[in-house]
Amino acid sequence: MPDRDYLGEFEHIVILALLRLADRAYGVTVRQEIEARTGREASIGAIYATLDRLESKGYVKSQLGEPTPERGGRSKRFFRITAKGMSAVNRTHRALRSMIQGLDLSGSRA
Amino acid sequence: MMSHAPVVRPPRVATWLVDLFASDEHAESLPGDLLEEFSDLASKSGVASARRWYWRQSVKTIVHLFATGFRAAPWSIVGAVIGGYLLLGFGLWIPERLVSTLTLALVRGPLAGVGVLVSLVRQWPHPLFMLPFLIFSFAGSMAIVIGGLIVRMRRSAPLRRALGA
Repeated sequence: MPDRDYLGEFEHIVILALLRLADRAYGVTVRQEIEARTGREASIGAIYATLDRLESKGYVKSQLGEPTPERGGRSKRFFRITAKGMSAVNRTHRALRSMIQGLDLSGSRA
Repeated sequence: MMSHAPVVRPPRVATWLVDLFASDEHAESLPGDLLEEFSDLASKSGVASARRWYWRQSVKTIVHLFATGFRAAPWSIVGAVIGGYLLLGFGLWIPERLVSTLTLALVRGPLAGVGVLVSLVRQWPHPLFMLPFLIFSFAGSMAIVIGGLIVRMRRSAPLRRALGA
């Protein structure tokens, strides 16, 4: 039942990076955004593997940009979130909020 | 007038390996992303640091690409690897009974060279299908050359002893 799917941890982080970057989201910027905000060094392969999975679920769409000389004449692949992806984000957030509600996460009760 | 930074190239072997494992869909964008970050890092932190980063990223990326490829087409990958080993075993067993080690090394050496050239110039028809050919070309030639050297050393040792005596 893919429509009831929740996002995995890294899928969630990648999709939030796409939302933050809007129309500037491609491999390099997504990787750098994640590294800057989470301190986690993600490999470009991990980003592409996750984006592939999200694209196969219909949560993300991609398109090739123009080739540029600083990339050795290779094009950028830009990613953007779809309406289906947006509802998956909202569904995941609702589930997380519901699970967190009423919990004391300060750690003082441990 | 804009000044141009010196052209710094990333490690060739790492680039070749990423190209080999990247799917057709990402053959443009993924190596381009790595090159863009490499150039940026080289101008900020130096070439040595950028090269280390490039190797680290390439190795991690290849692991992910291989895992993704395996999930997408597990039987083709298993088939390619088994096919390569079978080809290697068959290719070593039959000719060794027909011709000498030196002749085999002379044939396999250029074959390995052609294998490298073909895979560098054109990944035809698909990178994964090159795997049996690469295993066959490289491992076979290396095994024969090393085996030939060992045999030669063992043969010449008693002769040297006899001459020295």
